[in-house]
This record gives sequence, structure tokens and C-alpha cells, in this order.
Amino acid sequence: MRPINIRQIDIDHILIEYEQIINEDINLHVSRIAEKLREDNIRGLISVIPTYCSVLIEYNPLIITYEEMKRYIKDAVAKLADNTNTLRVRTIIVPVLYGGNQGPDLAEVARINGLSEKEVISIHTGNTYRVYMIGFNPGYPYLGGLDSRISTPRLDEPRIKVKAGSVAIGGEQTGIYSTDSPGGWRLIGHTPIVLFDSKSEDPVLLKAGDNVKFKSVDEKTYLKIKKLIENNQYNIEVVQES
Amino acid sequence: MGTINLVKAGMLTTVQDLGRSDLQHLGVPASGPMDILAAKVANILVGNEDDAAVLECTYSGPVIEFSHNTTIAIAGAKTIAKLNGYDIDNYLSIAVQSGDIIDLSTIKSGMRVYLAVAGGIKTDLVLGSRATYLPMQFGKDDKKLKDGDSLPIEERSFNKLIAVKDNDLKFIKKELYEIRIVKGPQAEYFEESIKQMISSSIYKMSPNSNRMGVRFEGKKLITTQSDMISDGIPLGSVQITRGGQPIIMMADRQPTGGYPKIAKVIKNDIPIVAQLRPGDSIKFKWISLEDSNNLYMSLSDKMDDLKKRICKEVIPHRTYRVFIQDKLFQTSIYEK
Repeated sequence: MRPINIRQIDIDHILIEYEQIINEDINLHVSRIAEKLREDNIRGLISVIPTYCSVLIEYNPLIITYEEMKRYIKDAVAKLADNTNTLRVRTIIVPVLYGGNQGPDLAEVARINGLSEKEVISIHTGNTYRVYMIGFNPGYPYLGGLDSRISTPRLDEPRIKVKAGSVAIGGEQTGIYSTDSPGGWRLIGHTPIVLFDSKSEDPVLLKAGDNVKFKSVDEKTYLKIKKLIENNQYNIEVVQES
Repeated sequence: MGTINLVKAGMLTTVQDLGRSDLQHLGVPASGPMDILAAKVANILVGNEDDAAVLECTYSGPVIEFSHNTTIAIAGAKTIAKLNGYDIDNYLSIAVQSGDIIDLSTIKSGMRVYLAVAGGIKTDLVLGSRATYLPMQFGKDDKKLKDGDSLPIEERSFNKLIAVKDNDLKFIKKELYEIRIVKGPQAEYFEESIKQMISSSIYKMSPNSNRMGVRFEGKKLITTQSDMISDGIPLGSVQITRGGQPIIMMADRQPTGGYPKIAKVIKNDIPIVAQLRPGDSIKFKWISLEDSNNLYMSLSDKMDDLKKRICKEVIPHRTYRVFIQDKLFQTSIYEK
């Protein structure tokens, strides 16, 4: 898998574009290229933003030239193209308390789709979701892989404040609000897991290229995990796969 | 640690340093000064590195009391700045004494004035930066500053007082601003006629603008291909909304987005966009990547020339103030 285009956008940006489609393999390359370039500690590199099928690179043109930067990118692309089978993906398990006060729209999502609440939960926890990119808000994961049986249109009127950790469905997508923010998605549950913590050394939990699996927990477990997280004693469940 | 006290905070005053560009892949906006040139020049004038935190003061600036002797500089929007009631120049390093009051409340033209203090403003680092991101408070000082707030500064004096003479390093008010652009990531989404239209029409800055984006109103720029897969947004990108109006994406932009970016404002001209007021007129002008590069290199040389005039060592000196009518002048006598 190789980019279809590596081009300069003004004097301080390079855009690496793959085929412009939403596809897991392409996205995996995108996130790995970004990771590789960041790991390389290239002098003059300012930022690397991986998205669904492109990577935007910002550099300081007073420190590194376009040609030099492009050479680093081509090297990284070549190395990765030959080593696709070594790409590892981690799956982060996200415990969710579905329904009730924590998921006020669960009943409506079930009704609209002609399912029981239990069936919605079972379908939602059944799939593995891919973090295609992080954006929109700090730590916010764009997840792919929602089962169309539970896709639900957004609310007509967005809520003014949705609390961080809310698990929601909006159209064909599902997501977790990483910060308190306005939002128009249907809230089906809540996770005590913190996706963005500005005081942490590693402020964002989910990275582009990760997988996410939701796990339904009862209120007692939810409160227990919440307490552990508050005391910094919770270990997030991670499954490593190759 | 010394402090600066905001007797009056002004309309919208925030602390800004170079921001968090390196965290954009985590969804964290870059932030930083809107007019990066003015912030850099102000920092140079007080002997700071580029990454020192400054105050960004919007539309009507603050009234500030200093607890210690230090050196300051004001750059960006043209401001009728006063020190203890006497007029002082913009783009000049100024020695201030403990108890001095600087008044930046009257901005005459332009939108944002920057105040740099020797050593920089020393609020806590959050996510590696002191930049304020208004939509979300990352740290305790990360907010719109209010009357009575005080901010830590280093007790440090910087001795050589210099002025900026080169007009290319200053904000100059115009009736019609020319904003030079190069092709954006989705330039090919727009037909040639639309690309011509953007550079042949006049656009007016809309009041519906902020640190995330500066919006314009004018001839509609419609693309037949408005659906795109979200990608990264470079600073200065010219996004075209579904309504066909351009938005220039600025310091607090979201790192990723799904509106097509027809163009990118060249690095040299982003500071002009930061200084526009609602109703100001602009005209876009397409230029080549090569020209953009040459313009930026030439601007960087001018910044370097200014830096060369700064002396990093502290030279024993005395600075005297001279008041002539309503204006304050300063003279430094060096012992060397």
C-alpha cells in the first residue's frame, strides 16, 4: 500500500494522500506512517496529523527543506510498505453502563430500530470499532464499524452539554465524548474511562489505529471502576493482537 | 517572581505562547498568537526567545500595573499606548519601573495588540504550553483574563532598548488588504472559474469571526464536489462552507475538518488576517509556491536582522525618562 500523492501545501506543509476512501487497511498505513515520522525525531518537524486517508505534516522551513522532508517521508513509506504484516493493533476495552440516567436515549434508539434495549446493547458490544482518527475535540475518536441495525438519526436539537465519557450513536457512527461539549448524538450509556486529561503526561487514551470494544457493566461495577479511576488505580484492559 | 496586575483586563485578553501544534494529532488545537509576527517581534524587542508567553489583547486592551522593573514592548495593532499617562510608541522596547501603569485600552487600527515582558509571562504550562484555548479551559490561567487578575513574570531586566524600523515587520492599516494565497489541499474540487472568482472579487470580513476562524462575505464560491473525507487543517487554510463563503482557519481551529480548502494564505499574510476588523475589505491574490517561499525567507532575514541588534548580555546602564509635552522618551547611558 502506497500513497497516491505526496505534495507541498505552501512552504511549511506536506500532505500525504492515499486513495480517498474510508478503508481499514489504508487507515492503518496512515496511522503507522504518522507514528513512524514522529518516532524519527526529525529536526524541524512540527506536527503530524493522521486522518482517514491522509497525513498532514507541518515543518519549519527555516530548519528543514521540502526536499529533505519529502525524503524522510518516502523512506518511511518504503519501510512500511515492505513490513505490513508486522503492524500490531491493540484493542482497548471500554466498560459502559448502558441506559438509565447515564444513557437517556437508549430506549429511543431501541424504539426507532424496533429492538429491545438489551438487543441494542448486545449489538453495540458485539462489534469491534476502529479508531480512524482523533479530532473534532481533544481525544475524540472517530470510530468506524457501527452495525447498521442500531444506526439512529441525530437529535433534532443538540444538547448544550454532553458530559465527557458519554457513549453515543449519531447516524451511521458511534462515539465517546472525550470532553464536556455540546452534542447532537443519542446517548446510550456512559464510561468512567477518561479519554482526555490535560494534566496527564499522556493526555489522550485512544490513538488513531487502535481498536475499541465496549463491555456492558452493571451499576455496581461502573461505580467501582469510577472510584478506581479517581484514585488512579484502574488499569485499562488492553488486548494486543498482531 | 514579580507580577503584572491587570487593573482592567480589556475586552478579550489572553496569554499566548507558540501553542500546542505538536498535539494536533490528539485533537488538541494548536492555539498561539493570531498575529504570530507581532508576537515574535514584541518578544525580540525585550530579548525573549520566540516561545516566551505574551499577552494578546483584542480590540480594546488592558490597563496593567507592574510590580517590578522590567522591559516591555508593544506590537501589532496600532495602539495609543500610555505609560503613566504619557504616550509611548509601539514597536519599541520600553524600560518600565515598579509601580508603572501601562494603558493599552485605545487600539486605533487593527484588531490585536501584543505585549511582551522580558522573560515572558510565567503562568503554568498545560499540555506543554501557556497558550489559552478559550473554548475549553485546560489550566487555571487558561481563560479570558478579567479585571484584577495578576500574572507572574520573571524579575529580569533587559537593557538594550531598540525600535523596529522595517515596515515589513509592522502592521500597517490599509483600505483594501491584499491576502496572498497558494493552492489548498482541495483546490482541484473547484472549477477554474471559481478559482478566478476568489481572486477577482472583494470580500468583507464578517463580525462572526473569532480565534478559530475569520469569516468573509462576498461572491459565493460553489463547488460541485462538497463531500470530502475529513483531513488535517493547516493554519491559514481558506475553507469554503456549504454556503459558499470563505473562512480562514486561524490559531484555535480544530485540527481536522471536512470542508474543502480551496487555498492557503501564505505564512507572511496570516498576521494581516489576524488584524482585520469586521467590515474590512480584502482581495485574495494567487501566487506561486516559489514566490511564497521567497517572501517568507526574506521576512525571516528581516527578523534575523532585528535579532542581531539585540545584545544578550546585560550591560550596566542607566535609563532616563524625558517627558516632552504628552510624550515619554527614554535614553539609556551604557557604561562600557
